[in-house]
Amino acid sequence: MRKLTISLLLLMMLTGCWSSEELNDQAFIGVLIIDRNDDGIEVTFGVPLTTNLASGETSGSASGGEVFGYFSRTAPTLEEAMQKVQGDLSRRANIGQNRNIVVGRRFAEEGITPVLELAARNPNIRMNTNMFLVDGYAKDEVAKATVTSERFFISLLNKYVEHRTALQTTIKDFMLSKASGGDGLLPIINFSDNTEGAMVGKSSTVGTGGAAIIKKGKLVEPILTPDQTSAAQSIRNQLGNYFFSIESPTENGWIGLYSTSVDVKTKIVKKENKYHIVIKPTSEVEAIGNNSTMNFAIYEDVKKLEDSIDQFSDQLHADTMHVIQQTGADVFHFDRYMMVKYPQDWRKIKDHWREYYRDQLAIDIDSDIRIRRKGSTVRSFKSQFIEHNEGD
Amino acid sequence: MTTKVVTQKQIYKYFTIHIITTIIMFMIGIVLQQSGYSAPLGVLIGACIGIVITFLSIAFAKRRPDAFFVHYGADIVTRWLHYPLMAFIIMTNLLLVAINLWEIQDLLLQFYLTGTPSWIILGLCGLCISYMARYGIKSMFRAAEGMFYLSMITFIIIPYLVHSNMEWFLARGFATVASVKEAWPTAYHLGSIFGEASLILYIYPYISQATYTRKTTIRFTTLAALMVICHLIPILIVLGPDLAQNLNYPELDIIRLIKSGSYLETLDPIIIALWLVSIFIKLSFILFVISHMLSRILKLKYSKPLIYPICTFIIVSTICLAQSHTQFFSMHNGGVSTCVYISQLIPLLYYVIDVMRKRRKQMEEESL
Amino acid sequence: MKQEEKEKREKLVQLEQQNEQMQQQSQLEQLTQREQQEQQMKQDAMEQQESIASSPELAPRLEWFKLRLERVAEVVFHEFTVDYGHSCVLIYMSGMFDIKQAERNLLEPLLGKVFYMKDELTQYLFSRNQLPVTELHWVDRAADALQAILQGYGILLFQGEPRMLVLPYANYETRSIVEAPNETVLRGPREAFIEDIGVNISLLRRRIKSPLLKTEEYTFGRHTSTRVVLAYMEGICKDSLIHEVRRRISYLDIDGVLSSSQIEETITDRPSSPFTQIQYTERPDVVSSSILEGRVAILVDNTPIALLAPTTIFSKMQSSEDYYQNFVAATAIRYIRYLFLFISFLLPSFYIAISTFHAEMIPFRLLVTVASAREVVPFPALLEAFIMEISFEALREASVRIPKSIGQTVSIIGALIIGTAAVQAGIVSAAMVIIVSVTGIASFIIPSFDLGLSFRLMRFPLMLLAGTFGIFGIACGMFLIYTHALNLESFGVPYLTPMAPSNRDSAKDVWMRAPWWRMNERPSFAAPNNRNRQKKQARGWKLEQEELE
Repeated sequence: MRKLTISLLLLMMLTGCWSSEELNDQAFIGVLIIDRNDDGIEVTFGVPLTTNLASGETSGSASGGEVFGYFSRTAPTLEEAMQKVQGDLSRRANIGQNRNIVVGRRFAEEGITPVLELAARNPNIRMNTNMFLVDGYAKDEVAKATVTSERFFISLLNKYVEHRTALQTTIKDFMLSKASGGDGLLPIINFSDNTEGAMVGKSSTVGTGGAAIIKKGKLVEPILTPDQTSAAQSIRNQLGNYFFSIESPTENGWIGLYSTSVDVKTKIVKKENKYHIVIKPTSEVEAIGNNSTMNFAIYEDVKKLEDSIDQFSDQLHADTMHVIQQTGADVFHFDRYMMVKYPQDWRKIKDHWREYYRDQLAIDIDSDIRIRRKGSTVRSFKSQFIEHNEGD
Repeated sequence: MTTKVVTQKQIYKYFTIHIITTIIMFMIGIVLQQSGYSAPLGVLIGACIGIVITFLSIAFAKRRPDAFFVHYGADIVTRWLHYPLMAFIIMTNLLLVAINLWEIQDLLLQFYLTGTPSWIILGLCGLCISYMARYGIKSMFRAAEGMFYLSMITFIIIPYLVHSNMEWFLARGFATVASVKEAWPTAYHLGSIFGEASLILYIYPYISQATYTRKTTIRFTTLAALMVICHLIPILIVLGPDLAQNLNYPELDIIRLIKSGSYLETLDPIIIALWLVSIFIKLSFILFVISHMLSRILKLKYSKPLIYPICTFIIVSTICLAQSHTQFFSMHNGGVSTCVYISQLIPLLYYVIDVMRKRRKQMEEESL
Repeated sequence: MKQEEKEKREKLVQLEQQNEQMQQQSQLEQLTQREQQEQQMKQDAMEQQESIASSPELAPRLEWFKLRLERVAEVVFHEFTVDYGHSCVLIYMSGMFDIKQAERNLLEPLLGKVFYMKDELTQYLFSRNQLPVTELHWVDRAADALQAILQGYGILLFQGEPRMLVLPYANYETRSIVEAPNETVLRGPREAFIEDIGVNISLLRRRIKSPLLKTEEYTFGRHTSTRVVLAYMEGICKDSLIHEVRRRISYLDIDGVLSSSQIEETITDRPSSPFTQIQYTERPDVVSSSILEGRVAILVDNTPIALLAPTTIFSKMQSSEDYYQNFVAATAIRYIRYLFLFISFLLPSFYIAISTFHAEMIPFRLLVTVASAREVVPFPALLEAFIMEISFEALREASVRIPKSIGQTVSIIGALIIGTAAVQAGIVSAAMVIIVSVTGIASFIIPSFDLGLSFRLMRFPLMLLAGTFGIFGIACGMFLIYTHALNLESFGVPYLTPMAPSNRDSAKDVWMRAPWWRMNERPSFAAPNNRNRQKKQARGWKLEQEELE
């Protein structure tokens, strides 16, 4: 007991040594922005400025730079750029809190492999860091954007992923399989000026839209439209709330529909020596708007509507898959399905998987969507109140 | 003061913790690198090997349930053979403790305590281990009893928390891709760890209800194997075999993927802290066995005073063990498992000689 | 097959237990022999000294008493003569002796009668016992008589009679029985012990009306001659335990025993441990229930605190309130207590470890808030924590001694100074104030004050470890504390029963407060052949009802 006390007393001399660092001696990186310019790779650290926050209560201030600071430097390689940025910061940069990496278009075109390698090897960067793409020069767009609905820009990004508004791609998603390694989809963050998109006051704001296809770490054309991105999300089982509209089967007009979640099952089957990936989205949707005279009480009409919805969904998914398949990028890593089910055949194909994927893999979509609820009213406004009077 | 202080329940709880802690944190990376999808199969085969080794030790211990192996071994084979063999066993166990300590300090330094010199971490670990070992045989088993439920809950909860990340179709690979050939390196490595339960031989006189030891062995080996597989399968399913093979500490990466609400995200320091307590219990047990054996060989009355010097020796040798990760791996792959196997199978030699001697004696008596 | 195996196992366990018992018995026999020898030696020594003062003559005895009690102002020597010619002396201490009763019951009858012969007087007093006084006894050694006087009895000396009468009219002012000041309950008896040991024992006797409740009395303290009583239930309490307690107490040879803590420190297994191994309480219901479980209670005169041995950490975490309330609510409250036990000594260390080593664990928004609050504070987290903790401890210590009239004001000042003003001055951050206050509240949740004290003290080394090594340091610190508590034994009972040596039945009372109709067995430290508290049919009426339906 005495020896214990002595050794603990000795510890008192060592207080605060070595690896303890005060919270205020660290700069917590909220977002890592990487882009390429003519001089090399530019790395930007997005850091919350706690000294400004300390003096009073904060609001989402008018000029976004007060709450968040962006420090950037350019160098030939990623690590050298990081070292330079650290030279600008008065505190030690701590990357452990970082959950988002934003890359610029030019950097994606020339390959995002350095970032993937850094994130995988560095024990402080987590594997489930989200990645986003900016169609332009990342740092400028992010730094001058106004974040109005959240406190910080990164809260915005986190909420997009949390509520499934944007496609979620993490570092891990690029590394799921050797044969299709480096393939993935990067969600795009839009920054809109006053004409289109969100508007609060007079400044530009942040929004989501589209996705970029990455093949072997490099960006390839084309860029997916927002609809196609939603289809991609649904194939990845990440689609949350989705509004869409279908032409009414009875007459002109459209029916507005809303689905809260889409459950997608994927599997691989072998038909006549050819491999088919079968994707089956199922969902239960609600009708939220009826701008035709269709009557939901008639079963055949509803069945016809459901068939049109199935067709719509099949078409959308097939278009998206076609676009992606043409590029030869196996962004959904279908090779894993083959590897576990047909290992012998897989061994023959795996060296030229991407060619097989582009040319020979068939993807079948089989949607099954039902209309679960038809809303609060019985007949549509049109048929109840407008068409009714026209007869007079 | 009775000598039969360790109950079967305590043995069960202690050895489960003993086996699980090392495998889950340190060995999963290596296991996945060597075997991929065949890893669970390898674990099962390794568990069987461990059970066989432990049963052999127990069968040998049963022949003289109230004496210590270190003493009567000198009667079976001559002193000249017995003491060198005991020295070999002691050295192997010292090496085991040193390896475990090295891996602990490597893990901590790499992730959490980057600036701290390694000798102070090892000093603190050594202090904890020797403090517990000094209290005698009861303390380790009691500690394991107290920590058992907490440790099990901690280990079980990890696979549960990552279940939203799992892609179940990959589970099919366990049936289609797995093969015994791939599983064999894993089985070899893990067999030596499951076989560490053969340390029961050295504390056999302390065990009460000793006739039930075999049943207990099966129980704890099964539970340990089950827990390890419960960790391997989620890791493979969440990360996929290609990625899991590439990571040094896949367990930590799994813990960091926990997504249940943003306030539970980085639980890994807490899990590491709880796991650290369990592994201290294991290391203090091995230290106790070493000092016990050494004190009996040197014909000392108490083993307590030897513990601090042995611990200091272990710490110093850990510091000098390997300068870098690469050196450590080349040393580890160079045959540590084989060494451990040999030290676990040495009692088999004694068993055989003992049986032969008894038979010869019987034949002599019959001929008289 | 399973049944057979179970029986086999039980037989093995029983065999081992019997072995243990036989060993213990042989040890017991050896000890009793040694005890008897020591007692013999003591008696011989005393007899030599007192032969001088034990003669039948009155005058030398009176001289002896007057010599011993010179310059003692309260002593009264009342010399009188009983007809015809028998001189007597009544010696007593005024203030401690009920002289009115003595006058009525002793002096009146004696002085009203006439004894012609000395033998008549002797017969009247001693053999035929005709004085209207019960509890009368006599001593023939002067030292005993002196002791009796000092304890408040009266001594009657007779000429020509070596025996001296002891009159049992000790009467002194004592405190009345009030509500327990430190262990309050909402629903349950409110009586607490007072200083007088006779009253305390009567409080116990009122609750346990069984002849098996044995109360052995001892006297300790060369100058204080304090009465110490060992109370236990014979048959329920293990013989070896009682013997062990007696043995440890017998070594106490001190000049004054003023409180039970002196006895506690003498008989504790490990006095240097931060965990006390003997429980103390001031409530008779706690003592009675402990005695019924097989513990030994030690009551000391002039102290309202009774000691209970053996104890485990879990019995210190229980309050008697638990047993008077509904068991579901009591179980929930028990878990809150366990949670706050950990909070009370881990929370500051946890905060220090996380904010200096593992900042990744804090969610980002909270981190920004905490970091911006800490921008103005010039001290590192560890130093800030120490300042706050030490000021809080000082405040707590000071509040014990504050007169009740300004107690309220000081607590408000304390809150203002330490709370708001320090934050606004930028000396500490708001998060730290919250943590320290939660820790302070948590440490008062523990029912046993000494356990709370030890956890409060252990907080400081843990904070140092956390500040140096982060969570790893906390893990090591917890490991060391855990090992220490694990190997602590209180009179042979491991301190962490039933968690560490696990025990199914006692676990019922620790992890939840099992309802009374489920608690069929006594805890493991009771005598092994008297384990059953009740038969299993406490709710048999319910079964009957269900059968009828």
